[in-house]
Amino acid sequence: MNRPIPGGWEGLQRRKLLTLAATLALLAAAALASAGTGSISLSPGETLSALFGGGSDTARRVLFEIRFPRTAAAVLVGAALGMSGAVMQCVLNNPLASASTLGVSQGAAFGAALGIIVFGGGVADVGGDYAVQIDNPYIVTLCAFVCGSASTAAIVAISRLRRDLGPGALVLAGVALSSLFTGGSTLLQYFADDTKLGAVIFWTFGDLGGTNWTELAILAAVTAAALAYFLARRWDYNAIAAGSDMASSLGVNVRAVVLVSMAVCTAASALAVSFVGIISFIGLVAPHAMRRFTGDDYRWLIPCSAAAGALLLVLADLACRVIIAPVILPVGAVTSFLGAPVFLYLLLKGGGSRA
Amino acid sequence: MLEVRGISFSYAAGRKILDNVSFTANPGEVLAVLGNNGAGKSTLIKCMDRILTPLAGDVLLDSQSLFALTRREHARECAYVPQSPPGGSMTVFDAVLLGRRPYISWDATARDREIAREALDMLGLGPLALRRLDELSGGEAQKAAIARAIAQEPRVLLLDEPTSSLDPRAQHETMQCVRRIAAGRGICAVAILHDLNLAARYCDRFLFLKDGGAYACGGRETLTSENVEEVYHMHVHITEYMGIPMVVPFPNINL
Repeated sequence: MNRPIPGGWEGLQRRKLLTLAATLALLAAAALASAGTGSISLSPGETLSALFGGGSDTARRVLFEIRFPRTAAAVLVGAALGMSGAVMQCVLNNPLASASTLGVSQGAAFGAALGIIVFGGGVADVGGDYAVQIDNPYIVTLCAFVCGSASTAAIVAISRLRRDLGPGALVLAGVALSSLFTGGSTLLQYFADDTKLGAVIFWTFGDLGGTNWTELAILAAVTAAALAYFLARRWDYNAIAAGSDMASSLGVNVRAVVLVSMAVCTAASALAVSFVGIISFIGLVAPHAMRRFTGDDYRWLIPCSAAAGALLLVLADLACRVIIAPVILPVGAVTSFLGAPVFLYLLLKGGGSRA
Repeated sequence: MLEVRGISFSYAAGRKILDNVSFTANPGEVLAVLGNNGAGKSTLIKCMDRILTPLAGDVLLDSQSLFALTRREHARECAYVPQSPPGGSMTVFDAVLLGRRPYISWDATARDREIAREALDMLGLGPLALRRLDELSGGEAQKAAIARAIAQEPRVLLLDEPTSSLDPRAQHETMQCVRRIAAGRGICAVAILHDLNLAARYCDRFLFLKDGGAYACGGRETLTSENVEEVYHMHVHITEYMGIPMVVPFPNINL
């Protein structure tokens, strides 16, 4: 017993663990930097002491009312999108699968437009941080969540009905649904008044600053539950990556695992997007970046993708706030600007091993 | 003893691909499944492994129904080696360790790793343990797939054309290895083969499938020129060279 595996397999596992630890350490550093950056600049030490109840009252107020919710939102949304992307790529056997390529973002944007314009009831024009404030954020979040989920549900249904559809066809189905939702949003916007139109456009920019602690608690609970489910299924994902016949032969109920996983991915990413607006490419870039270190080993790829997604979004948000401070750029635009070239680079380098 | 009883299968509302197929196989032996393309060989193996759900029939192992087991229990009794083994960036050792999935509740234990390691050594893959699957030759990939099946510690081993994409030496090595494992562990091995000479040389029993039905099944006495001609529509002579059974085809002679 316990003889070493030839070739140093244990060492390989340690390297994968190290990858995860390094990503988490970077995430912690980025989160501290993010929380310390702003009109009142705080050192990592001051931020940490405020987190544990020390420091000045001003620092604590700034951190707990503005900075921490923002950073926590970036961490949770990034983690949800990153790990959902990894799992979707596995169960759909498609390296291009992610919340944004399967139409979740556009579906959610349509839902938000529907919520604001049709059901919103009222949009107040207030001053302060935001030019436009949505009066009834919960109806908007709910609409965005439902429409975002509907998009993936449609794609899963299509993939079940026509099993002979290849990986490319599913992404094309995502494109078709995206343009359907975009068309719907455009029509809604055409009939909206200026204030509501402004609110819709502002929503689609993606805003990490608008979440309160209650929303964060919901987001944290759903993201943690999804992570727990994905980790419990990690051996099944490895089996599915070896082929669905193979997985079935290893005792995996492939159909059930694929459907439940897609439902969990969709719920987690649609919820994330509906709280903070459109944030693209995290679900594509994070898993592909991590595949370079972990291969298609979902035991490590899932936690690594969650950590990398969180890291990317915290960094993107930080970039949004410092590039032309005090103006805060829309984070959704920045992830797309940073994400698309990184993704193309990964494709060209053959970094995504199955891409 | 492995007993297959009356397996029938068809895709939704189509013609029957398998019609009431029954046969038996013995532990420690290799059974060859023979027949033309479209005779239902792969479908039969997939039905036995519950990858496909048959319309009717049962598979009994020592009088116990395999179809009555849970998926996880079934995967401990029955392992499957697909026609084209999976590639990808997974290492050989991780691929073999995947065979322990039916036994793993949260994570692989030291015992699971030891069993995977033994399976690796049994197929001589130790030096390739950290190689990626997509870096292996056809023969090595086939052996890795068999090692993964061995790590499942099954009592039934199903192989779908294990030699089809291999060079001649690797074909013989693979068949010798299947034979050694079946005999050494008392496993019922069932292999689909297209090469009648490999079947004649390495298998103990022969199942001829024709048009979705079991045409004949039995020991060496079943491998006759009459049966082969009836199933493959081709004239053959069955002979021996230095004690090795040979099937010599004469495809241009009209039957």
